Amino acid sequence: MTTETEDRPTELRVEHVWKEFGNGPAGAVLEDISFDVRKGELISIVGPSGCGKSTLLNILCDLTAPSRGQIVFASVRPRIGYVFQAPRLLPWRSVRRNVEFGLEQAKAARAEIHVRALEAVRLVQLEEHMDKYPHQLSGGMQQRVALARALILRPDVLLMDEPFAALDALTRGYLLEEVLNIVRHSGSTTLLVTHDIDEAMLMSDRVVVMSSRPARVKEIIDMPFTDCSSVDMLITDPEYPRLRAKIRDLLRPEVSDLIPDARPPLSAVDSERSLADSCPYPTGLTARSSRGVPR
Amino acid sequence: MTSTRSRLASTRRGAQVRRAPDGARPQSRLVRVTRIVAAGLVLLGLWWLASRVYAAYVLPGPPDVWNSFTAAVSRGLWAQEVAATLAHLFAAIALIIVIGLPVGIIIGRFVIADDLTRGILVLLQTVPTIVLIAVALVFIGTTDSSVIAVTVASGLTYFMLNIIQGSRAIDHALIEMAKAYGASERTIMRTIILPSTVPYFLAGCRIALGVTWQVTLFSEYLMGTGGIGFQISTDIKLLDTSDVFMWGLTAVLLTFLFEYVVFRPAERYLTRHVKKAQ
Repeated sequence: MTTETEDRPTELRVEHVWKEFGNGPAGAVLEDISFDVRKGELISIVGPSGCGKSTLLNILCDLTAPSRGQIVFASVRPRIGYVFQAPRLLPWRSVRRNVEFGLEQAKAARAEIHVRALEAVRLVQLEEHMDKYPHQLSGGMQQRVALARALILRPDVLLMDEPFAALDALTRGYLLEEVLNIVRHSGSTTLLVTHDIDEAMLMSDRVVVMSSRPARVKEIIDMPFTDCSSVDMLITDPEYPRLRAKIRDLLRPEVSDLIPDARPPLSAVDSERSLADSCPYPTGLTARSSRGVPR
Repeated sequence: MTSTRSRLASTRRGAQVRRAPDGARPQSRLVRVTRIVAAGLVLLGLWWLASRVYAAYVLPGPPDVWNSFTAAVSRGLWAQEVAATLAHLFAAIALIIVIGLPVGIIIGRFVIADDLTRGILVLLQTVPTIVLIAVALVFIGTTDSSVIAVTVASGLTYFMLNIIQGSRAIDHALIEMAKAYGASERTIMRTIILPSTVPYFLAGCRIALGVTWQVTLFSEYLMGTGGIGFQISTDIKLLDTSDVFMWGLTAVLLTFLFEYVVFRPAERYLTRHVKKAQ
C-alpha cells in the first residue's frame, strides 16, 4: 500500500454502510461497505451489473439514505457533481443553460454562473456548441455536456456512474482519455462506477472490487498507472497483465453469467458445438442452442 | 404508370435513376399558396352563382354579406360584438388555464387527487352543454358570467386531461438528476415539471380553444348576453340571413387569426428545442 496519494488528507469515509430495500435478505443491496477516499484520489468501483454500485453513489450524494452506517465528509457542505450513465440533459435548455443548471442549485450569482459555464464548456471542448439544444448533439457530446454540468461546481467529489457505457466504442475510447485528463487536472476526488476492468484500471489510483448482490467489498487494489493517459499505454505497462488477472479472478466467481471474461474458454464451447453437430437427431439442435452458449 | 415506364426506358443505357413520385416531390410555397387561393376563389364564385338562384333571405350573395359587414362596422356594432365575444372567450380560457394547470398537475402526481376528482371530471365531460346552459341560467342568470361559466365547464376537462397526461409523462431520471444537484421541490417544479408539460399544455389549449369557440357562441345565442352568438339569434328571428352569414364569417376569420397570429407563433417559440420533423 504505497501510493503517492496515501499521505493526502481524507476526503470522505464510507463507514459500515448497509442498504436494504424492503424487508428480508432478498432486499439486501449493500452489506457493510467501508472504505476511505483521500483528497484528489481517483477510485473505481467495479462489480457485477446490478450489484448495488449505483446505490452506493446515490447514498454518497444523498439521493438515498443508508439503512445503517454513514458517510463522513471532510468538508461541511461538500460540492458533489454527478455524471449518470445517460446524459440526463434538460431537452428544453441549450448546452449553456444545461451546464448552468449544475451551479444554479448552489445559489451562485448570475454573472458568476455565466462565466463558470463558459469555463466548464471549454474544459469539455464544446464552446462552439454553446447555443445548441441536446437533440442537435451526438451521444458523446451530450455526455460531455453532462460532465461540464458537474465540473461547473468545481466539485470536491465527482461521482460517475458508468458514464461511458452508453457510447459507441470509438467515442468511448476518446472520451475516456479526455475525462481522465480533465479529472486528473481538476483535483476533484473522483468515484467511478464501472464494470469495464480496463476503464477501472486506467481511471484510478485504487480499484474497489465488489461482490455480487448483496455487495461487499472484496478487495481494494492499488493501481500504479498514474502516468498512463490511454488504454493503449495501459496495456503495455508491465504491471497490467498481473493486476488485470487479479481483478478478473476476484470477479470471476461473482459474475459467471454476466461478463464475457467469465465464460468458459472458447475451446470448450467449440468442442461442445461439434458434439451437437454430429448428433443425428433434430433435438440436437435445441441441445446446442441451449448448452453451446452459456447464459 | 406510363410515365414511369418511359423514364426507365430513356435511362436504360445510362446509370439507373430513381426519382421520387410526383406526390412526394417538394413543392414551392408560392405554388401551394396560389392553389389554395384559387380553390377559395372558385368556392366564392360558386356561392355567388348559387345566390343568384335563391332569394336573398335564403342564400345571400357575397355582395349582400359585404354590405352587412360594412354597415355593422360603420355603426360600431361589429367591433362592439366582437369585443364582447372575445371577452367571454379570453376570460374562459384564462380561467381554464388558471384552474386546469395546477389542478391537472396535482391530479397527475397524486393518486388520491385523481380518485377524488375522477367523478367530477367524468361528469363535466359527459353532461350535455345544453344542460350546463340550463343550470347556469337557473343559478347565475343571463349574464356574462353565465356564458363564461358554461364555457369553462365545457372546456376545462379537455384541457385538464392533457395536463394530467403531461404531468405523468415526466422523465423521473431528470428529477433524480436535479435532486442529486440539490434542487428544491420548487426548482424541480419550475425547471423540470412545467417545461415537461409544455407540449401537453399546447395540445390542451388547442382542444380547449376549439370547444370554447363553439360553446361561447352557443351560450350567447341561448342566453342573449351580447356577442356574436346573440347577434345571430336576433338576426335569424328577423330573417336577416345576410347578417347571419356575416357574423358566421366573422367567427371563421377570428378563428383563423387566432390560429396563425397567436397560437402558431406561441407554439413555435415554446417548442423551439424540439427536433423539427423533416
